[in-house]
Amino acid sequence: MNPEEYLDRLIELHEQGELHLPAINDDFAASIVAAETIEQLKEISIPFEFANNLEFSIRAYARNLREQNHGNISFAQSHILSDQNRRTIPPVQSHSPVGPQPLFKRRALITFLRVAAVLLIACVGILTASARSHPGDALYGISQAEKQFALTFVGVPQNNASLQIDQLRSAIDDLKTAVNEGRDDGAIRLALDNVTVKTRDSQEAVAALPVDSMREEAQQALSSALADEEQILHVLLNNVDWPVQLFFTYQLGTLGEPVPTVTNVVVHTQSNGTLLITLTGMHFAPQAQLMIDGLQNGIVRQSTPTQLIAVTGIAASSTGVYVIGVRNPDGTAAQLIINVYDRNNSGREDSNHSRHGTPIPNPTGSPDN
Amino acid sequence: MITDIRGSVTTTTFAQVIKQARSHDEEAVVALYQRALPVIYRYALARLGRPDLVEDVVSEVFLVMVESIDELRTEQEAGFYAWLIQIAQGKISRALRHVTRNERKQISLQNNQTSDQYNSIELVATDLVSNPVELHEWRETLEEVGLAMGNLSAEQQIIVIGRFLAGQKIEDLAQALGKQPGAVRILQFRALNTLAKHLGLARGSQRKRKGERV
Repeated sequence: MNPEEYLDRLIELHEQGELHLPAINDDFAASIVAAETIEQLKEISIPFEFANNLEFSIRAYARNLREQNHGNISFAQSHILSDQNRRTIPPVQSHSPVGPQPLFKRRALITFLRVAAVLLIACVGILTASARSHPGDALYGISQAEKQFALTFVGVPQNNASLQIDQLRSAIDDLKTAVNEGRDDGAIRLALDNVTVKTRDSQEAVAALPVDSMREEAQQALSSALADEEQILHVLLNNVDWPVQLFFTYQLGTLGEPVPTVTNVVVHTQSNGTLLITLTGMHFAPQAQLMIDGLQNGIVRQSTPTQLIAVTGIAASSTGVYVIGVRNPDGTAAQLIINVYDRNNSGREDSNHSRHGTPIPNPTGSPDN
Repeated sequence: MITDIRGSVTTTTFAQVIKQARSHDEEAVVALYQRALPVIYRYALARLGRPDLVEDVVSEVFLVMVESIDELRTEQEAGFYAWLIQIAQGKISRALRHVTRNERKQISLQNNQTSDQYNSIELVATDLVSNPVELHEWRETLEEVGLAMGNLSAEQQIIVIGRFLAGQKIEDLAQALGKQPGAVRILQFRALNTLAKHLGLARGSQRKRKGERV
């Protein structure tokens, strides 16, 4: 017999009231006394009132559960019944200032905590997903709002500038993603708008810093970010459509880049029926192209940095609103919306029988010149 | 003096009572409650030492019992006790955490009245109430038992309580815990050794226990 069995046998004998146990050593004796000590707990009496109250509560609870499980009563009735029970059955009182809550309160609390946990998880999920969202995604707005929210808690100007520059870099990355993933023009515009706003905010934040080493440091960081922005805008220019190229060009112009601008357009009807179009402006590059209504058109006869002369085969009788523009080989572009009219028909004096372009406001709000 | 409140699980088998209780039969549930209350109450009192906390914990244990009885897989009495003791262990641990946290707060506020307040709550210990000296000794013993029991594993506690408070056999406890009787005897052996050591009974311990009977 091993010691465990031997001890168990001794305990059984002791429980049976055997007073003279077989010869045992101190360890066995100590174990038996320990067992006896535990058995002494049986001397603790149970408070009668507590036992009665608890029994009453248990009866009511069991009854409620049974009735609900058996579907004998409607849900509404079960609530009435449980309300009645709460009124008529004395609840088990908590004596402890730190003790557990009564069951119903506890259940309500648990339900509340579960709902709160689900909401919290949902919020965290949405915020996590929105952090990875790009322009055009449904959650992109949340991501931007989150960034704006973060800015409201920045107290120190240095931190604000730093955060703004970080957000600018993030906006540039978003723009790059939007273009490289081939998103639609709306999404790219949205991303570019964000870059525009962040560029301006970063510049303002850095300008607001007191002139010291911190500002120099921030200025360096900003210059680096803006250089990256310029470089990326240039790279992306050839991957976007004409209208977006105009916006990219505009943004490059705000960064101080020498981008093309068109200030005037003159259209002459030639004797062979073609139109001679003369664009006046700035920063026209060699091999710049004439663009009419967003499409490359005509043959450029002469090009200087301030003037571009091209001939196009558009019918001489064509009058109306045209969008005349120029695109440099690097993709930077500019346009002017003009109203082409016939001076002879309009009664104006025109010895050259030319058609003149009158700049009109851009109905689409695109950055015309 | 033993003042058990025994349920009337006499005319029908325990398995039948469990089956009825699973469908929330009021009488069956109450029968289980009456049978288990003394065991759970005493166990909780030994662990917590404070009647105010014990009543809360015991109430919660039995309300969980009513709520979750249909999850009980065994129809054996020892299994029922093991299940209930496990529920009690969770509730006791939580109550102990609450107490610890609360006492830390009390200390930080330099308000040390808590222990006095709880000490003033008399433990209901049979006929000892009339004898202050014995009552004091009994309190000390209870505190020692609580501390010693805290050194046992959850399984060891189930075995010790199941065996010595609920009167279950080793074989039944083994079946309830999914173990061989020999393994349960080993656990019992080790548990009693640990208890003896922490109660100052074992060889080499600091002192001999009062009222030694063997």
